[in-house]
Amino acid sequence: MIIRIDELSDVPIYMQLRNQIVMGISSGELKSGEKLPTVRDLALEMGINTMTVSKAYQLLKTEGYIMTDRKNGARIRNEIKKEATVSDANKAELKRIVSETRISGVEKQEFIDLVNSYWEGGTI
Amino acid sequence: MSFIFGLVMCLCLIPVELIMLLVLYPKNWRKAKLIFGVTKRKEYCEGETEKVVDGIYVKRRRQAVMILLLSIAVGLVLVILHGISFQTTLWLIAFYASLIGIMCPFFMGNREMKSLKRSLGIMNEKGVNLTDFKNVGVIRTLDKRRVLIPNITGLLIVAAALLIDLEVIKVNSSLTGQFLIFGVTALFWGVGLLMTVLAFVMDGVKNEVISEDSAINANYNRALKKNLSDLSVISVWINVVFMLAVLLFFTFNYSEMGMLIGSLLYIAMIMMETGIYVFRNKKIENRYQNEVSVVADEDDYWIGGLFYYNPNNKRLNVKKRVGVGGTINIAHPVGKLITGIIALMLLFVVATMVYIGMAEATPIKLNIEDGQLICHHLSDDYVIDIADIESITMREDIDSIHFVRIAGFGMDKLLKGNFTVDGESGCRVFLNPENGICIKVKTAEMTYYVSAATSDETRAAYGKLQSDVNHD
Repeated sequence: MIIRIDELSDVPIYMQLRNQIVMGISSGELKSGEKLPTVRDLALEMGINTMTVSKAYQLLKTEGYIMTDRKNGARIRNEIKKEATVSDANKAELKRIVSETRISGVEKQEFIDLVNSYWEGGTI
Repeated sequence: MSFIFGLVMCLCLIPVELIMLLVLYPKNWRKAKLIFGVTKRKEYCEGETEKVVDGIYVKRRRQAVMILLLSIAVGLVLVILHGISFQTTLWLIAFYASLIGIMCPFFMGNREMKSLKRSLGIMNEKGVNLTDFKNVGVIRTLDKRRVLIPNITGLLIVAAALLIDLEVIKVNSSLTGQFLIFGVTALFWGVGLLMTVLAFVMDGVKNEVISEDSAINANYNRALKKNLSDLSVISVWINVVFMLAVLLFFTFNYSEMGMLIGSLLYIAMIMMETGIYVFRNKKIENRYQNEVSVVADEDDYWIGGLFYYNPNNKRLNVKKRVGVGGTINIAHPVGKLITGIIALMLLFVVATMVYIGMAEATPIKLNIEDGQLICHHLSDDYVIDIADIESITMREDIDSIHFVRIAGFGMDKLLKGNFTVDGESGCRVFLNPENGICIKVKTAEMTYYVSAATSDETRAAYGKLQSDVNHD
């Protein structure tokens, strides 16, 4: 699983890291109970600050994707809470993407096919 | 001695240059991962662009081969020169010039390739950092035990050297008690320890991402790190073998010729294992060539393709793009400090060579004034009160005197410093051995062997000294 961090992006690095771990869980590349790298190791490998990694892990923990304990470090939760609803934040984001795509002249079916392929593949 | 020294230097220079040629300029750029430190892309292997790249590569490689041949020719000329310090200075210049020289076509090729890349409209994904999440912190190949054993063995050798120097272990050697055996073995043990630390640092460098498949990335990085770990472990063992040889050699039968031959063997072994490392690395790169599906383009962060400068990367150590081992990120604060220290060290080496050259070019003088015998060279080296002199002897048989240098100068025209003379340790020597004569001056605390620049001046000084000593 390759993490791609764009240091010049407007999206903060911790959020990019969080997003890509969520995508990894969704695609099945990161499995339930799988151990995540330690904050120190990951920060060293990516050449970023440990606080940035810590912040991403903290966010994932708050959102219920991972669990942490002092002994075993961070792991993917065995059972991630399935609310079966799209959050308001994601709805707003989807609305923005749909709007931009429509303005750019993409056909509705093409967009739906794209969503389907991502849904089936589980990754973006 | 000059010939042996020249031979050693020549046998060091040629393999280094050959390895550099092999690493920097592989024969077929189409099979390489990088072209002059610039990431190879499929665009470079298409149509007219391929011809342009080929033209750049062939021209720069040919220049590098010419520089290599020139270096070898210069090296062979230097072998037959006389005067050890003169030779040392020239060798230093030749070494620096040939190492920088062979890199020059590489730098120019790097510039040309970057320019070609821009003209093709290929832009770097600047600021994009790829990491294989699954392999973070798990690709480690250096087993602690493998480096611990040679380091402990080295420590035992240092302990043995200390016991010999303290004369707890009795041996028949004139060098005991001066902590020379201990000093040399401890120095090499320190080198081994440094190699060990660097081996662990290199074992922890960032893993390269060549594929979307984590298993391929893991195997590729494991193979590269294993090769480097093996190199480190063998280097530490070679160091230990050399320490043992030094201990035995200094303890039982010391000679400068033997020391040079030993050093030559040591260098030859290091060169050989480096060559094997480079060969194995190439094999690994060839093996994974077809697996590359991800190109992490960091070309713009590599100045000249060899020096890494990336302010966005918080890491200090990175794997070398071209060559053996790792390098530092010059943009990192510690990287800047290390670069400054290295620059100062290089300047220090040059300054030392200038000093040695001046020392050889400046004649020595014996002045007798104000009741003192002053041995003057670049400064007043030894000042002996004539009243303290117990005896003076003219030694016409300088060739039969056995001088063993402990610290100081040992040149064709100058012996100066702390020497063991005919088995007597701690003597101060200040003479031109080409005179064939010297004056042995004995005081209550010290024995001196001194001469002036010429034999006539030495005889004159001896006459004056004799009358002054008798007068006192």
